[in-house]
Amino acid sequence: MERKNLLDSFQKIVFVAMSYIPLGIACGIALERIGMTPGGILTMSLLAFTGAGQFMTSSMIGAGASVISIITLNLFLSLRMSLMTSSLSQYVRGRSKIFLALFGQTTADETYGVNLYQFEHNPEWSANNALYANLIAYLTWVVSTWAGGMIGGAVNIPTTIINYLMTAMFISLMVGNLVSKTFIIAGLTSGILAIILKLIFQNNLALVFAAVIGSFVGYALDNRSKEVVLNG
Amino acid sequence: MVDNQWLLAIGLGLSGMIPRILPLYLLKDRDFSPELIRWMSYIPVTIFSALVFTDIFFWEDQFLIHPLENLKLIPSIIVAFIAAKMDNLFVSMIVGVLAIVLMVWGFA
Repeated sequence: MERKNLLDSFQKIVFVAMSYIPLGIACGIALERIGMTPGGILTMSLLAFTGAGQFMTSSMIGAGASVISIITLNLFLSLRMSLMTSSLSQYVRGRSKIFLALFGQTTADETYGVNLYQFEHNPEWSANNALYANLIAYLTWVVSTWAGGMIGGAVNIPTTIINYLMTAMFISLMVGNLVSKTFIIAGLTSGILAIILKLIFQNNLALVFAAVIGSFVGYALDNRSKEVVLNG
Repeated sequence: MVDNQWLLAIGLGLSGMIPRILPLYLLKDRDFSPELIRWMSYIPVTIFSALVFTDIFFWEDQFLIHPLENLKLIPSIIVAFIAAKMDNLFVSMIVGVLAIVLMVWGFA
């Protein structure tokens, strides 16, 4: 039975896992460039499992940012994972603490997408299926980034191009979240504010302030549009 | 260059683990308040737009919006377009990398 579960999970996650291989290798190469060893990269991927955060780390360390500002930004980047795991929590209720920790740790943008779809559309999709799918993607990422760290200096891709992988990832994730007018306004507010604050303060923490203010703008507009609906 | 890669790995790990795992422990028999969820639902778009805007409008640490000098601008428009049309992270990243390779090859 578990063998069948594992096979089902593999089938549903295999394309995600395959896309992690080139991205993970590129990310490992980028991290090797800022002076990390393959062992350090492996540890980071096991603990952090975040393409977005790990690419961001390499480009920001490359630009001379402090470790504290990177960790703070990653905390905010990871808040979207809170939304994801809290929306999946109803499907894994009653599982052990270890199961929940493993499931949470191995949830990423792409595995969340697959799991949400399966839980909503496939009555046979179990909490175990979801964990297996997560674990397959997670281990693929960990091994790919480690391999990237091993390859490291052997390839000579310009840093501009490696770093642009992160930019393209962030643009795609941003666009994917522009689901209504209030989200577009919140995004524009945050983006423009981030540029202004960064030019003034020359510090990456400006981005966190811009995001928090932008979110309040979106939230306030959202409240107002609800009131209009109620009153009208 | 990184001073202490282990500190960086652990810091990045903790800042990713806590937001991921904590909701699963806290929500064993209830849900977050809808108001908190509604505010938090804006965080992904605002943090990504802050990261994107402070990335694509800067070239070599200078604010620069000339599309043939800041080589990230044109590929970024293409990526945004592809992402809106296809909703496939991998495809838009590949297209973006091809576009930046062409820009660097043609104009740098």
